[in-house]
Amino acid sequence: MKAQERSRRYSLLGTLFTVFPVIIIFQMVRIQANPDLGQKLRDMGETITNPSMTITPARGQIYDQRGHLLAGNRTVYEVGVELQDVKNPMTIAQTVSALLGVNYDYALARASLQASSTSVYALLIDNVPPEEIEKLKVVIEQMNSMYSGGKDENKPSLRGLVYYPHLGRIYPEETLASNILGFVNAEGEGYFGLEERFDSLLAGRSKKVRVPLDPNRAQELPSVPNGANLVLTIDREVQRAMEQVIDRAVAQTGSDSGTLVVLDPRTGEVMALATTPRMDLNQFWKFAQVFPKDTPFNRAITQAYEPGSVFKVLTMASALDVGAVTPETVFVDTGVIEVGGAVITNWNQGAWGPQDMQGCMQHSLNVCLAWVATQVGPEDFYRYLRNFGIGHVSGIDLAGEGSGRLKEPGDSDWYEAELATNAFGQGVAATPIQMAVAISAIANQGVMMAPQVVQAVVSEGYQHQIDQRVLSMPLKAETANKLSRLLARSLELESSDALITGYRVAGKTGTAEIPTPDGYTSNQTNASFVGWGPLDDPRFLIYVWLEKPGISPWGSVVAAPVFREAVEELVVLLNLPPDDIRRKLSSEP
Amino acid sequence: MFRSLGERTDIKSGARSRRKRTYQSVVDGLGVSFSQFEERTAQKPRSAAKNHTIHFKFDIWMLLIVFILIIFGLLMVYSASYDYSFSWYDDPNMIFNRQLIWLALGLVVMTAMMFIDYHVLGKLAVPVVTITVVLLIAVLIVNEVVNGASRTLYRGSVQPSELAKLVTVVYLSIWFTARREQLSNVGFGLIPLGVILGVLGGLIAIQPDLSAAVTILALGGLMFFLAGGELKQIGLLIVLALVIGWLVVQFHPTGSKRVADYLDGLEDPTAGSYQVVRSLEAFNNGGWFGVGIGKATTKVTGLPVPPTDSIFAVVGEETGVIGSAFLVVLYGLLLWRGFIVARHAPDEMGALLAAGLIVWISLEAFINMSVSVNLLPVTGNPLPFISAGGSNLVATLTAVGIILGISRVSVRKNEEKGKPFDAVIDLRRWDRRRSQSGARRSAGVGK
Repeated sequence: MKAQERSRRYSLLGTLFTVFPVIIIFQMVRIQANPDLGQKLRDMGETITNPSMTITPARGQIYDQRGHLLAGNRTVYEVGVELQDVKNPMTIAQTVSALLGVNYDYALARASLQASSTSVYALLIDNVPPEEIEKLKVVIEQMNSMYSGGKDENKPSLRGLVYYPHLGRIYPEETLASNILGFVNAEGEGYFGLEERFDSLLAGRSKKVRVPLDPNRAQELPSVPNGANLVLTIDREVQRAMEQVIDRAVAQTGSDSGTLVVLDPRTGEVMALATTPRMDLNQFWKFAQVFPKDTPFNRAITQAYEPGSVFKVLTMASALDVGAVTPETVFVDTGVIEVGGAVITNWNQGAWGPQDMQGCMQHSLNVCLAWVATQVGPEDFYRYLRNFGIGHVSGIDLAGEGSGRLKEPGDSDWYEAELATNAFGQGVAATPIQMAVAISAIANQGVMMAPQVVQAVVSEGYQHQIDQRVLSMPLKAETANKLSRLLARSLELESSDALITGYRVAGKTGTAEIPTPDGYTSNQTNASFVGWGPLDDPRFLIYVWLEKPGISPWGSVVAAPVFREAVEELVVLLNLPPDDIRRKLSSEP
Repeated sequence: MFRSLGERTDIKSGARSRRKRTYQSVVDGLGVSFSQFEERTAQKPRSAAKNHTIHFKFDIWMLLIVFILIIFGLLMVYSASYDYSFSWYDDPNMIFNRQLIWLALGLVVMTAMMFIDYHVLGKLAVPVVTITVVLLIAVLIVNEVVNGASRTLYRGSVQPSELAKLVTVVYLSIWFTARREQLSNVGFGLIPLGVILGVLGGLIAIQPDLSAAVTILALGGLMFFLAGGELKQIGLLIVLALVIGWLVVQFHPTGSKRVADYLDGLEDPTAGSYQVVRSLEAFNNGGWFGVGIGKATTKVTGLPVPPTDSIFAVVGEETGVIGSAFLVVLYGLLLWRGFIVARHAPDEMGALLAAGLIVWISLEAFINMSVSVNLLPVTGNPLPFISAGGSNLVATLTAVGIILGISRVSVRKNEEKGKPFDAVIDLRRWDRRRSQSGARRSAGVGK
């Protein structure tokens, strides 16, 4: 090649290369000279360099009345895969299925996902306790040191497997009081019970902040106050004992379910709310297994049923209070009475002859109580029931309370016969908590206290005591005391299974046929018992409901002994001395 | 400052006369007979060296530009690396300190190359190429995987692909010079060229380091052009490159994604790849005058690899259009000085070597800067002198040393002929033995 040609080529290349710097400088100027682009870049940069982040406060804790933790938080881990880092999905799937019990095929499918601009991360399992993460950490380290380096596609590799800590809900008592507490799902939303009712209070206020990535602009994350803590009126030990009592009763009587409400009639504080079934709240994902279709989470507050004879307490209370009858009033029971076209008979179809009110309650005579209701008259009778809160939610501070149903004169489906049937608890639906609260008025000298589960809210270092409220005063104190004595005496005369040595209690059994769409055709019953004591200074009111008991349909046979067992446990736990000792103690100077 | 065409013809004629003598001996020699060629050409300068004990005459402008680049580079490396270094090595000075050590080594090698006659390279070429190939194979065997590719030895401290680029240019300049008569012959020219480039480029491509492989192929093509390859063959090469390029874009996952991102980015810069968007954001933040050295925010908020690939964006943000344009101009000046040296080189090998090396350095620089301003798809080319990275720095400084060595030989040749060219400053001016200015001295020598 000629030197001239060579020289020309050098010049050509040199000239071509000078194009680069010119274009680069031109482009730099262009970037500056385009305000729209600049604004767009600044906006994009802002979202990248100051990403927004939500600071979620630790969820409030729940304590029983003595300060035992019922619901708290702890660090748990979610385990997932950063898709773009994954080298060998099979190793990951094997590891997580062996160590954490994740389904192998599921893990393999998740880990094999292709990373894209919209999917970069796949969750494998959440709520892994720290102990298991420690094991996983060891395995990851071992795998890294054994198989580091190399590009062999089939080499075992846990690359991409990551775990992140976060606060998770923990229920140290597992199933205890589960129906009261409710649970928190994976998204941190409260479901059922207190977790749902006080969700926003427990969750606290989360805060959205922009966090600069620039370390020179680093600032402390604003601290957010934790969610409010709740202190319950529930006593862990009482609750545990009551759960054992009701579980035993359900097992022994072959019932479908059992419910036991313990409250302090003087204050409305719920001491225990035991019902079946219960779930381990730490495994909330098993909810559907524990509560198959339509099973209420908490029967005590959700499930309305026809209470049967325990309702006679309310009928008698209204009759005595309005003056329609006195305890001494005698009713001649012919075994049958017709009200509004409906023929009422007694539980044994028998005629019991002349009976005073004591006898009517003692023998639980439907005919007698239907007559009593007619003596009260529909207007007063339903006014009393309304005042007792029947047909309305009791306002207990738990989520999902049911209101039951009280048909009243004026309702399209109310007939005159309802007056008679309602008198002994048929044709009216109430939840156990409604019944317990209503009857607590009789135990508490005519004053009905609002039921409460939460006694205090502790928020940012301050304890807010929840006021005890009077819900209504449906009857005179005098009437209430009179009826209490009457019911105590009936138990004693009957020598009921509910009687407890050393403590005088009042109470009433109840057996209700279960209505079907065709009327009361089945043989199955709801057995109930309500009782309270000690009679002269009531400290507890217990409501027992056994659904469809197998061994005997009668409340006096299946539910009354449950009451006794519950009281026997309760007096020990509440340090209640027997009546004579208590009287001796209080009379001493 | 520098004297132009009139004198250059003299230099050329000098080179040409020497070339005539050497032609004969090389004609029959293939690759092996470089040494003959080298020895003969080297003889004369060596005898001349006896008269002048040490020559400190280089293309001082080039040296000056390189020093400015190095100092500017150190500044930027520290600024761009402290955060990155801290997050990777728990020590904000780690990358900077390493850069200093490599710089020291690079300067030593550069100085050595300045004083070694570049014709010696001809003897070293074959062993050095062999060592390079061995190193490239070693990389694949040792297999230190970082970010899905294995490109390094000794825990990331040595990156043989940088050496490979340097060696490619050096070897090709020797090889082309030896074969300049056969370049038109496809069997003797193009095919062996393809084999050489294929081996080096291929070994790098499977690391994988697509950018480095493409750079080597491009350098091979450009040098083939400079060496006097037939235009037909060059056309064929371009077509071949386009076909391979198209295949890579179509079927190589990384390649196709980068090109797709690039095309998106051309329409709407904010729709391009993350690296480009952040890089443009950096330039936009910098404005005309910059936010001040050390004060960039994109480098600490996710601009990808600020100390290496994205360092030009850091320059843009911290020194603005003014500073980065200054840098671009510096590379432009470096390129120009390089071509001056090439033009004035005493022989064709020197010319090809100087041009090839300067084309390599500036190609890397312009590619890196073009990526940062969204002119080219994302590549992994470092910014010479500025980017953190020992292998590149040492390789680049070696190249600078070789170019300066060529300029030294040219100067001496011209001095002997009484025609030094003025772009070269006699360093002895400062040692007070002679105190004439260049112009006066050239008159003095001429008398």
